[in-house]
Amino acid sequence: MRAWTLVRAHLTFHWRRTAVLIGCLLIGCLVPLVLSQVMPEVQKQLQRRANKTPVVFGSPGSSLECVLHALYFRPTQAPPLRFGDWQALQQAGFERCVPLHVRFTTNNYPIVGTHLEYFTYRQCEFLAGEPFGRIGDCVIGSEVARQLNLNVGEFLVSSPRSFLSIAADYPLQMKIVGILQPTASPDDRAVFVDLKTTWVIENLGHGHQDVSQSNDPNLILERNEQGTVASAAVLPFTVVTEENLASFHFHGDMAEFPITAMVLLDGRQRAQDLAAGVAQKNSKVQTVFAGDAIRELLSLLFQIQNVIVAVSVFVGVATLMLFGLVIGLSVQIRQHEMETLFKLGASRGLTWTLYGLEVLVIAVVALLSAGLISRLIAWFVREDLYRWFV
Amino acid sequence: MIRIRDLQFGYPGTPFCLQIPSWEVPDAAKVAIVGPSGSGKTTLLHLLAGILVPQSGQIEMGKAELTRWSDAARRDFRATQIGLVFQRFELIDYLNVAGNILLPYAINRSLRFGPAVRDRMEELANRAGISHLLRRPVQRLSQGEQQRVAICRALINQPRWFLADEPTGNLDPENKRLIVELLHQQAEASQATLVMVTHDVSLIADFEMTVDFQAWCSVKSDTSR
Repeated sequence: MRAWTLVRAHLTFHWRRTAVLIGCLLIGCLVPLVLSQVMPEVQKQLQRRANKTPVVFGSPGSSLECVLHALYFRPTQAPPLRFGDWQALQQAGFERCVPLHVRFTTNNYPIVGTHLEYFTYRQCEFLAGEPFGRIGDCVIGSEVARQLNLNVGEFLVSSPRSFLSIAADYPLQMKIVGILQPTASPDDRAVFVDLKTTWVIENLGHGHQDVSQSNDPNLILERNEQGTVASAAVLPFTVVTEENLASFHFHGDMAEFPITAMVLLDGRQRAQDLAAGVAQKNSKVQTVFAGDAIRELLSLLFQIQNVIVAVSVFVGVATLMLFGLVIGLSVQIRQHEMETLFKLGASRGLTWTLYGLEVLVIAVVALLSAGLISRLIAWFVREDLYRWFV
Repeated sequence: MIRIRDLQFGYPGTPFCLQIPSWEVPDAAKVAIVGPSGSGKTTLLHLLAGILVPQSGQIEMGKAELTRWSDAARRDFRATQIGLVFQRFELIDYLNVAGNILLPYAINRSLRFGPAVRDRMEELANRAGISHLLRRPVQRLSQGEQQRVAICRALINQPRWFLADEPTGNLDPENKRLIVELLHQQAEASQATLVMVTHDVSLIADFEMTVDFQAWCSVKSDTSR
């Protein structure tokens, strides 16, 4: 039995005080440690997505907002592009450019209107089912399926953007035809539909009962040589079936229909430069190199990290001062005990050895715990880290 | 043998001054020191234990002349040769009974812990009637039991000198009698010299020597300070 035994006995006997001291030091160390472990992974995840989507196109405005919208399906306030803008790029030979229309949600997950090529170029694999084949079908990300406990064959309903406007979007029941493999990317938390499905949700297209043969005055407002004008009493179909599929149609010029972004899923530098050049001829389209925008975002994140670390240092100093105060008070309280030890044959140095060992044990336990907890936190959030920062 | 010559001791900044021209105690004797509060009884025990050092004079404990020794040497001497019992027991609250008895082995490297020490601890506890309490926290013991633990702690290093500072001061009459009996038994069993300070004259009958501190040695207020 030596000094260590006394220290261990004292720390365990006063376990509440020990726990509070360890907790104070642990919290002081935890934030910088977690950041130091998490930030490199965040950087890696953000850059990986940007590298796979080197160029994005959107409306003029914030380049970062444009990239976050196109890569992470974040909502955007920017005005939409025209479907014709995408057609122009296609005609210029950029086949690996895919349109996106991300304006609607279902159960708080974004509905991503796109083309089937999105899955091909992103190299998405299917956990179950197959890609969407018609209006009203949807493919859900793995996380959507897990969280909502959904399977192929079940339905999801689009959420209206406003409950107050009578001209608002009509909720569309979408049939799940496929579930994607997990990719640790925003694709896991998205619902993919054909571009036309998003236009149906937006009321640019619809299907309804055939009124050409009807004589019901409640349904028909006017019939002339150009066609039949139906009243608002004719309700659009809210689900697409084999029977009503043929009735779905769009009004207006499709080239004017909205899309919110375009992504070029082509790793070749030459293709990227050419696409940027072609798009720049159109003043209503902004070309953004995703890597540059993400670097800008990371630079901002690292600045914030530095601020947090600086604040943590101040908190740490305050914690250490409190720690010192507690130890100082402990020294005063234990003066009589130390005097007894001295009378029994202990050296004065043993007193300081006991205090030193106690401080060391508390500090080591706090640091090891902080290291372990920070690793656990980093491990638990490793797959979805980007979500905390975009 | 304890031998004191021309001892003079005073606390800095106080008028207290203890003077003992000459005093000898043979080995294995049992000495009771009585006297009023503030007369210097505890100071004498601390001087004998090497906790305090006199301003002048000599203290010999056996062949050891404490007054010439360094702090470290007196500390080792105290740890290995002296058994101290205090009025307020001075047990360590975060150690159990066994931990308190073995405390001298935790705080001084001159003492080597081993199976023999553990056996001795058990034997001492047995003799003191506390062998069933060895794992119990000391704050759960009665005052009489706590003082027995303190006595066992004082004897664990097999001291040659057993110094007890009013060990019955906080006890009821029944426990007083038991503790004094225990002190005598333990001192006899280990052939140690017992020097006990007490206020209680009813306890001095069993001692071979009794020193009335006020009459026997000179304790005066130094008015020149």
